Amino acid sequence: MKTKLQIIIGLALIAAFILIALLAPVLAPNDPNATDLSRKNAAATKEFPLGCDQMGRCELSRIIYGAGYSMGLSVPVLILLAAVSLFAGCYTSYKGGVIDEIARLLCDILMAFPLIVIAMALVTSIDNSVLCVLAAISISMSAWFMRMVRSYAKTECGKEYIESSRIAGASEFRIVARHLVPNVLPQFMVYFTTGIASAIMAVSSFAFLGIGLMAGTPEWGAMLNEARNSIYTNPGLIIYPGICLVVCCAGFNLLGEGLRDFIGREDEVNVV
Amino acid sequence: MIELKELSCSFSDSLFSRNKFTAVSPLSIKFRKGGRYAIVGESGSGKTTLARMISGLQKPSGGNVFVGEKPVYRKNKNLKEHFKNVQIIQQNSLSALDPKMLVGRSIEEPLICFFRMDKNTRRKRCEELMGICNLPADYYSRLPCELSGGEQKRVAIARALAVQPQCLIFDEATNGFDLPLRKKIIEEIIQLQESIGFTLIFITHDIDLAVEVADEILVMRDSKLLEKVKFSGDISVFQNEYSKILLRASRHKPVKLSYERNN
Repeated sequence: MKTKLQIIIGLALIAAFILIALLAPVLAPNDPNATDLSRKNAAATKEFPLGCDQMGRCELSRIIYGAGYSMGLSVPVLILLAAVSLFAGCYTSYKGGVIDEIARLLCDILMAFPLIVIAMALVTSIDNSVLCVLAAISISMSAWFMRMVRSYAKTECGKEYIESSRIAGASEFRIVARHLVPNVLPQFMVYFTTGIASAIMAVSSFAFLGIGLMAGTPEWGAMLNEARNSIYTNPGLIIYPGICLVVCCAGFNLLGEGLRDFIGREDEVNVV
Repeated sequence: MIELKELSCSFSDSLFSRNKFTAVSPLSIKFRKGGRYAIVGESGSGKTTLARMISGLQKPSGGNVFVGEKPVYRKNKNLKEHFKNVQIIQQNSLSALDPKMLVGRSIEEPLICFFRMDKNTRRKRCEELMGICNLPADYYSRLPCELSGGEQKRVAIARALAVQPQCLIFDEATNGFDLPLRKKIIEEIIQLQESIGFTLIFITHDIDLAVEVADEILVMRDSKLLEKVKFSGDISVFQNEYSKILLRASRHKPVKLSYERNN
């Protein structure tokens, strides 16, 4: 029951944030980028429900648009990344031999560098753009995804059903796509959902540091950074995006952990 | 006909170690078409490794398996053709079935891979096979974990029969079954063999089973083939001391099966 509740709350939170992100133009009461210094740090009014920031922009509108930036950037990249590392991980661990060793080595090398180091290296050497940040996230996260997929795929490869589908004449591709991937998928989904949460945090942390997104973008991390100076005069500016970030990540984490417990229980049933 | 010529298998402890563990010492056997064979031996005697080598799952370290006159293990050769001839039914039928794949789809897999059947013919053939193996048709859309041990074994058999192999190997066909179920499964296998006419090889530690079903019995111990006897109901044909010990150690008298021995 508790597990189900966790999954439902997680899904509800995620759905809410996705809706907000998609419907931002309709929901936002004002233009998030319209500055008006006469409204600088204005208190909440009917027109500006959460007040205005240090540039006189509507705080609520900026938070609503921020949902799109936080999730819109990381989620599509992560889904693509997940699909690739799922197949690559399963294939390399099934194939074994040299390919397997190369994949293992590659994962180990990439995992040795923290995400922020990769991001800073890319940003300073190529360009301070969102693409670089996303590339950095892809590189470092894919290593972790692949590592995780490979460890589960290795266990599955040792099971007899892989061998028996070989005897049944299945090709390599068929074994990977029809047998390995479906069996690794449940555990992978758990890791993936919690991975989204950390990717959202990563995008926001980079924005907070001024890496990737342009100054003034209505992104939660960037908003936190801009609000730093007015932490005593107008604490709302730091609290609202902070809450959004926490709740959004909590949604994905709740879903992930709920799924993990749910799958764990299903496995126990299977054993008995 | 399947022939093993000087077939052997050994494993080394690690990449750099020279210590070799011999699982199967070189042995040569001929399996004639339509025969019923039993390979008997205690745990660790190399019988499963032998079965895996015959079925194409374990590359031998020496010698080769011949089907007809063709060697099975060749350089750059796909074993798919061999799997078409020889099918093995593994010890643990639950783990031999994909836990996430419907029973029907598992049985259809060889039909897709070997015969490229379209959806309707596949489904029809699958139901036919399930009928042969005494599985209710509505099991098509069940998961392996929803079936009992005996039913899982039957699914594995149906799947192997789908290939229409010349030779079927049972690795511990009746492990962990109670006596009535064991009897039932064995009778079903024998009936199938008599109607279809494939070569049948039982791998077992249970000499009673071997005595019941096989017309040729091979006794293995410590990776070596001790003796090979043509058996027709008289246990005095066993010459080797170890075989006699095995026979004496069997707990019960052979269960009389309901089929007639045809030799």
